[in-house]
Amino acid sequence: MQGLTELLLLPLVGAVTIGVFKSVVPQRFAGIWASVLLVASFALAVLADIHLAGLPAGHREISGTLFNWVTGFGPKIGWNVYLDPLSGIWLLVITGVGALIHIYSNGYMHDDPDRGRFFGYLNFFIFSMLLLVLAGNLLILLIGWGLVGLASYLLIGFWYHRPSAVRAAKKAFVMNTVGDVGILIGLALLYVRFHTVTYTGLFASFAHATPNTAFFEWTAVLLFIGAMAKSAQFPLSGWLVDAMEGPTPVSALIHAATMVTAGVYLMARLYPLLRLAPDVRYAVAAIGAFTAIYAASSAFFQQDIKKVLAYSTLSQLGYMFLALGVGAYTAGVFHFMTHAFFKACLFLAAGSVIHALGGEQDLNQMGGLYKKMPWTMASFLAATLAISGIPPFSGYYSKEAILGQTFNSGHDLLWAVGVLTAGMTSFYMFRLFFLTFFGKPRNQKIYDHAHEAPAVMTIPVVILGILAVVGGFFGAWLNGWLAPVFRQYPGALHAALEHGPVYGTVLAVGLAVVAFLVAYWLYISKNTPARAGIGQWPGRWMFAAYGLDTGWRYVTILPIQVVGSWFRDQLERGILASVVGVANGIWLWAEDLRPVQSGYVRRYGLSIMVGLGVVLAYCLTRV
Amino acid sequence: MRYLIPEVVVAGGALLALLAIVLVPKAKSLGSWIVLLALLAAGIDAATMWHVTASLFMSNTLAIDQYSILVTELVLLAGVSSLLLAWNADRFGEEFPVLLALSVIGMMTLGAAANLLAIFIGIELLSLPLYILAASSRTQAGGEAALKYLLLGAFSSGILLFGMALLYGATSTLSFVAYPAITAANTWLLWSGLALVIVGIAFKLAIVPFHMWVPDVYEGSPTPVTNFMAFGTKVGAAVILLRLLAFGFYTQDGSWGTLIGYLAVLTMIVGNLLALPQMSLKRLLGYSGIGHAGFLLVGIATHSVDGAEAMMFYLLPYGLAVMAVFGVLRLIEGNGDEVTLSDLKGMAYRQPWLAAVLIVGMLSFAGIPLTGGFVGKFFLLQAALFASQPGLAVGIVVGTLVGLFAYLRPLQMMFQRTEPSEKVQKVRWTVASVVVLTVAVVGTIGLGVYPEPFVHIVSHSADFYWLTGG
Repeated sequence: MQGLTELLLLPLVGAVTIGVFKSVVPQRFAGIWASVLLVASFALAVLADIHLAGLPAGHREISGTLFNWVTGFGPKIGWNVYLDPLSGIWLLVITGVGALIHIYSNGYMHDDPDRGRFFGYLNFFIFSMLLLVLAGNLLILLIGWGLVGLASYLLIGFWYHRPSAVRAAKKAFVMNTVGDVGILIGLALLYVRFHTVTYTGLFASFAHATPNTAFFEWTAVLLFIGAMAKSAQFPLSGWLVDAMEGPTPVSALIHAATMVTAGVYLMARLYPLLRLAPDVRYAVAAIGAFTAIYAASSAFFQQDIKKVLAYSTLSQLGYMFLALGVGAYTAGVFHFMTHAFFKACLFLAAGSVIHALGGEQDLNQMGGLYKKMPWTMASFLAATLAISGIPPFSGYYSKEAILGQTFNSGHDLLWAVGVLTAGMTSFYMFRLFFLTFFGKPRNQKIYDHAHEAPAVMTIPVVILGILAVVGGFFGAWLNGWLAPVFRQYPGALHAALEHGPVYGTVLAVGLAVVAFLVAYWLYISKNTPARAGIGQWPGRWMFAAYGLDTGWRYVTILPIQVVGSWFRDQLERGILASVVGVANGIWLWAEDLRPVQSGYVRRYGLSIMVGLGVVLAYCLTRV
Repeated sequence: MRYLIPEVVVAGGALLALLAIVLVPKAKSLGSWIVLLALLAAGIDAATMWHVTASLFMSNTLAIDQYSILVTELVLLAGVSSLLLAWNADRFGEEFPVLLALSVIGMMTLGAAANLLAIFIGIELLSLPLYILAASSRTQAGGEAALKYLLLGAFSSGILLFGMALLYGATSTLSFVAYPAITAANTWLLWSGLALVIVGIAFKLAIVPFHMWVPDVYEGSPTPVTNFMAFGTKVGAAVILLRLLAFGFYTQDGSWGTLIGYLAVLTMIVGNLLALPQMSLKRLLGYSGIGHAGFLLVGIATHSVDGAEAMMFYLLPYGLAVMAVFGVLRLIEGNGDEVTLSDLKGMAYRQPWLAAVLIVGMLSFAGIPLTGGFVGKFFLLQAALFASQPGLAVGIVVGTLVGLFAYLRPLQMMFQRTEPSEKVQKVRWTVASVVVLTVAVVGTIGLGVYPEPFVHIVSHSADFYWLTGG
């Protein structure tokens, strides 16, 4: 299967070997070994995609079965592997960006005494993610989906001696489980109705189905809930910000470039289902747009370098969902790709800064670092320009495509939200950039110890920075590459990239430039401290992400607590006591049957006779 | 008589072992060796018949098909595992292997029965040695268990036999393979007979409310015998109920299907619920056996090929998990003392391998993915859904959830960091038990990861509708 099996198994081999040998072999080999395997995986991914490109346009897919899982009773379920141009893009990004981040981690985790475990988890994550995108049916996808959740849990809580890390890991796990349950139920509905879980089988049935029936709306909603949880869409977004407790390379790999885009992948993959559920499709777009603006405004006043980036990730994921919801599938995938470049670059550069400052993440302690860390600064700047949508950097093209198509498809309000968010993005990103690298050092002691990161860290950052600059030029190629995927089944008429009106572009870029100037004026000219504005309304609100966590507390945790204590105080004494009484009664009844005495065996006999009477009566009514 | 060779080999082994015990009293394990070889030889011989053309023989009394061969293999596995668990343990008496072999023949007969008389003979041949085996530990609890089992067993045999008499009265034939042509005539005689027969078999299968003997008998019997009851008896009773109902009465599924469905849901929920408060590991396993009987009934209740396949499949992961758990229990209990859950404390640290085996077995009981138990429950759920019986599906889910708590309690105990109990410290491994535990663990995980080969086998054997018109 064109090396897909090897490609999939290499990271698993890495995880297992590291797990087995990590106490025997010096720790630094773990990182090197893991990175070598990932680079090999990347090479295989490139070869697989080249092979795919060599096939005729209508038949660009490689499918195979590793082995049959279940055959014989009812439908066959196999460990199907399926590669088409859509999963091909994800494959390249996961292994490519993944390999860079692995290499970077060799430097970043250099002093950690437990880095063997770190690389084992990291390789395990890559395996799970590859399984997710290479899955040929929804069941295997769900297994990969669960495993990436597990890997993310392990890596967020990697520093398990920090209570906050453990709490964040748990939160991520719980919120993701909500999504997993959604997918599981949706999958079960599809399976019972169509007796298959493979993409090809399901999509073939979808092609003849009537749109807008309750069945499809429900199925799509359930699957979308899964996507929302994994991709941290409002209101299931809180966990992603807390997930920043993990090591920074993890934030770059899992919580920016790859895992959180699994929801985007799922929705793009299931576009024939979205055709059948137009209401859900609109909800996808609306929730995406809302998440974009909500997260962007929450990023305005954050004090932690990684939290700003976390909110910006939420916001960019919102754009991707907006694209999927309005049917701009290629634009959504395009933005996923450029986002993987510039966001991984931003996170890794931020990691270099944190590394240089001895673990400091507070913006109030930074400033003036451009002299000490020129390479990091340059890459960060390139990525910031990209995410802000300044032409000709990569983010401009993909964001432009999304906004243009939102406008063309007549979603004026969502379009306006998207344009406004573009301006806001530019503001908070430049605020972050200026506060980190320019102005006067705010903490001289930390500043004096700062230094440029070692080459093993800087080179991946610079490579990603270059990709963030040029990534946008892949648009036309991507358009042609993905066209066959979205032509295969009905439901993606306007999947190809489109241009919006010229004034839309001018407006979005203009807002971004204005926001840049405002940020420059505030944080360079006026030298406003990072802390400014969070004391009073609306800064306080925005800083707390509008109290989403508190909201969740009121909506879920508190009611459960109230119900729980009511159960404890009232029910335990009342109903529960009687249940326990019945249980005790049964228990005692069973207990006192133990001695062999004719009177007691008679009770067993009585039970049999009563049962016999009922069965007999039942059967006789059937005559 | 080619088809009877496995039975003959086992019977010959039993007789030879009996002679050996009498003639060579010094060679203590000679009887066990003879029976072990006989069981293995019978298994190999049965396997060579796999591609046989299904047919009836002995005046339509017995049937040979892939169904009966699979049953033979399963009960032989149960027999071998019990024999190995009792290896070199004098206190069960030297007749242990002989009685075990006789009981195995009874179970093999049930797999092949095509006639009510064969069913009755099979059930009695299965039960009589078990009454003795239940008492073989010669403790007070053992005596109680055996007596209880005997009294209630006699009671249910009476019900079964009476039911058969009524069926004969209604149809004028004992050969139930001929029933499909006759049962179209709905008479009260026929239905009373069927009701009584179902109750008689349900007793052996431990269906609620005919289950009460199970925990007591499990608790009082020696562990190898319990292992045999939990695995072998369940296989024998389940397969004959399936063949009798799904074939003999297949035109009448509308009536018995619902009845079995109700019994299945009741058994799944009650069995697992009662497993929750148990402190004795063996009683817990007794109730778990009841719960699993309910799961088996689901396959029958759906009355579809899917359901029959699902039930046949479920027997193996269930049996392997039984072997794993009882094997561990056998090692912990030492001289046969009661093992309570608190005896398991600290086991994960003191006896990590033993704990790992117990974890695999318990997770398979609970139906956790990547174990055979999960795949089995999945098939049952699928069969229930495809047969449009959501009530059964809900029953499976509820039963599984309740069971999950019951099975996780022992595991939780094992991970408590306290000084391990005396029992756990004194565990002495034997080669025989290592063999049993290895087979159980490898099989359980193998079925969970790669069930296809066994699925293939089952899909052939569960297709026993060839008898139609026979």
